[in-house]
Amino acid sequence: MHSETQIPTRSLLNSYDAAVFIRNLNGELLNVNQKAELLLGFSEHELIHQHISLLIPAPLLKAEKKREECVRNGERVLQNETIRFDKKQNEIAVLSCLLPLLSEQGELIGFTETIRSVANNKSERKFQALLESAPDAMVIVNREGQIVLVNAQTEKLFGYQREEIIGEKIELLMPKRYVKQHVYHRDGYFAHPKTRAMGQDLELFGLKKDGTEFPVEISLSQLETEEGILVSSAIRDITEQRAAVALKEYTVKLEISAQILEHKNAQLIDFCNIVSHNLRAPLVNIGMLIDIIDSTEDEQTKREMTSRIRPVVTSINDIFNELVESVQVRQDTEIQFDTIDIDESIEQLLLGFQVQIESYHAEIKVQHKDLKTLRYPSKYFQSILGNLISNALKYRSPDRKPIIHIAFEKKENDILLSVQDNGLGLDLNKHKDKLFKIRKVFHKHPDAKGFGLFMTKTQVETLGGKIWMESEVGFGSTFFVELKNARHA
Amino acid sequence: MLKNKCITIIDDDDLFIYLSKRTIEELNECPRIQVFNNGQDALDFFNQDLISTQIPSIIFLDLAMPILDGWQFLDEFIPLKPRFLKTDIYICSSSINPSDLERAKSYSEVNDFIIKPISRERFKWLLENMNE
Repeated sequence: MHSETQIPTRSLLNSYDAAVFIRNLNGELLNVNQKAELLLGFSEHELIHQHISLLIPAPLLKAEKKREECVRNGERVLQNETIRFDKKQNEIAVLSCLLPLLSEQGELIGFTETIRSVANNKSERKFQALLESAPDAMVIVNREGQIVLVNAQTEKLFGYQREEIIGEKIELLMPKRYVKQHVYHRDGYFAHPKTRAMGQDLELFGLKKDGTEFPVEISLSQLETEEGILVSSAIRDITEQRAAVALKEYTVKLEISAQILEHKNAQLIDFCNIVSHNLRAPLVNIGMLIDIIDSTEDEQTKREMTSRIRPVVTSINDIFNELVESVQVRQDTEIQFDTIDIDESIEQLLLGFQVQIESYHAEIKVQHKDLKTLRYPSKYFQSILGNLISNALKYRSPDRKPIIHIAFEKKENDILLSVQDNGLGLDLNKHKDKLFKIRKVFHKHPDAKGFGLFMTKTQVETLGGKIWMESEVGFGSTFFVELKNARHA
Repeated sequence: MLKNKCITIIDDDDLFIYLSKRTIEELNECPRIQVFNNGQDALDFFNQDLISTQIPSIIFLDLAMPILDGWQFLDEFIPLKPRFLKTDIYICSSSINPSDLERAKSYSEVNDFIIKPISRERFKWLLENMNE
C-alpha cells in the first residue's frame, strides 16, 4: 500500500479552479475538492472510498477505461467532453481531463481527474469565438502586462504562434524605443481603466516576430473577470490607410507639378515658336541671299546681296538678346522685393517717355488713393509699367489726344494695377489667344515688335500674379496686372 | 505663255518677298506678282469683283503675320474659294512646328505646306505645273 501523504491534500486541491477527483488504479476515490462537491452535490464523505462508477453512466464506463489505458501508456489525454452523474443522478455535461497520479518513485498510482461544467465553458468558448471573429488583432493583458489571450489575427499580424506569446509581456509586440514609456502608461491605465483609443495623435507601431515594424491603431477596453481586471487591445494594421493617405497627398502634389509642367510646356511651345518663326525666318533669308551670291557672276548683284545680309544679322541679334532676357526672368528664382514709392517710381519712368509724351501731347493720370508705396521687385515694376505705357503710347488713336490712366487698387494682399488708354483698341475675339505671345503684332505699326507683352506676362507670372486685358476697337484698351503680395504686411 | 498668269505672295517679310520675286522673275517670262503684307490686305483685295487676270494661279501664304495671320486668312478665304477654282494655295512658312503641319493638312483647299526656304528648283517645278 502507498502512503496517504502522496495524495494531494484537500487544501491544495481547493486552490484549483476546477472540480478535482483523485482515484487509485482500482477506481476508488481517494480525495476530492470543494468544487467537486459543489458541482455534483455530494458531500466529501459521500464520495471518499466510493468507486468512480458512481459518477459515470454505465454506457460510458468502457470509454473511461480506455482513457485510463491511454494515461497508463503515457499518452497525453486531451480534454474530453463527457457526462457525469450528480447526487440526484442528473446527467451533467462536463469537460474532463485525466492526468496520471505518480508516486515519488515515478510509479503510476492513480489518476487525477479535473472536471469543468460545460455551461461555464460555453460562455468562455463564446468569448473565444467572439475574439476570433474580431476583425482586429485582439490581445488581452493582465495587470502585470502579461498576455493572457490572443486571437488568430494576432498570430497572423505579428507572426507568432499563440503559445509563443501567451505569458509574455505585451511590450514584446512593440519596438524597443516605446517599451519604457509603455510600461509607465500601462500602469496608469490599470489605475484608471476606460475604453479609449491609445496614443491619440501619436504614431504607433507594432513589431513583428521577424523584426519589421508597421503602423497600428490601437483601442483599449477593460474586462472584469474572476482573475481581476484585464485589458483588451484591438490592434489594427494601418499600413494601407497610411499608404492611401500618402497616395492622396502624393496625388495632390502630382497635380500641382502637372500644372506647373503644363505651364512650363506652354512656355516651351512659345519658345519653339520663337525659334521657328522669329529666328528661323531670318536664317532662311541669309541662306537664300548666299545662294544668290554663289550662283551669280555679276559683281553688282553680289555686292547688293551682301549688303542685305547685315540688317538680317542685326535683327537676329536683337531677337536673340530679347530671348536671353526673357529666359533670365524665368531663372530669377529668388527675386528681391523692394519698397517702391509709387509717385517717385512713375515719375522716374515717365522721364524715359518724355519725348513721345510731348510730341503726342499725351496726358498721363495716376490714381492710387491712400496707397503711397508697394512691395515688388523694382526692376519688374519698372519693366511691367514701362511696357504697358509704351504700348498705350504706341497704339494711340490718330484721331484724339492720348490719355492714359494708371490706377492702383488694394485687393487683399495684392495690388491691382490697371493701365487704361483711349487708343486704337483691338478685337479680342480674334487675338485673345495670342495677346501675350512672343512677337505677336496686331497693328500695322513700325515700332511693333511684339516682345513687350510676352516679357510683362512672364514677369507677372513668375511672381504668381495674373495679367489680362479688356479692349474695344476704336475706344481703347485696359490692361490689368495683379501685383501678387505687393501690399505691406 | 505665263504672261497672263498671276502669282500672289502674302507675307510680312520684305526680304523674303524680294528674294522670291527675284527667283521667279529669273526663272520665266514674268508672270504678274502681287504682294500683300498681311492676310487682311489680301482678303480686302479678294473680296472685290476681280477680272480673270487678277485671279492668282498660286497663292504663297505665310502663317505668322500681323493683323490677320495665315490661318485667319484661310478661314475667311475658303468661303470665297468657288470663285478661285484655279488657284492653288501653298502655305509657305519658316515654322517647323509639327502642329502647324498637322493643321495645314486639315484644310483640303491647301495644296501643300512648304517649309521656307523655297528652292529655285521648287519654284521652277511649281511654276511649270500651274493650272491652265
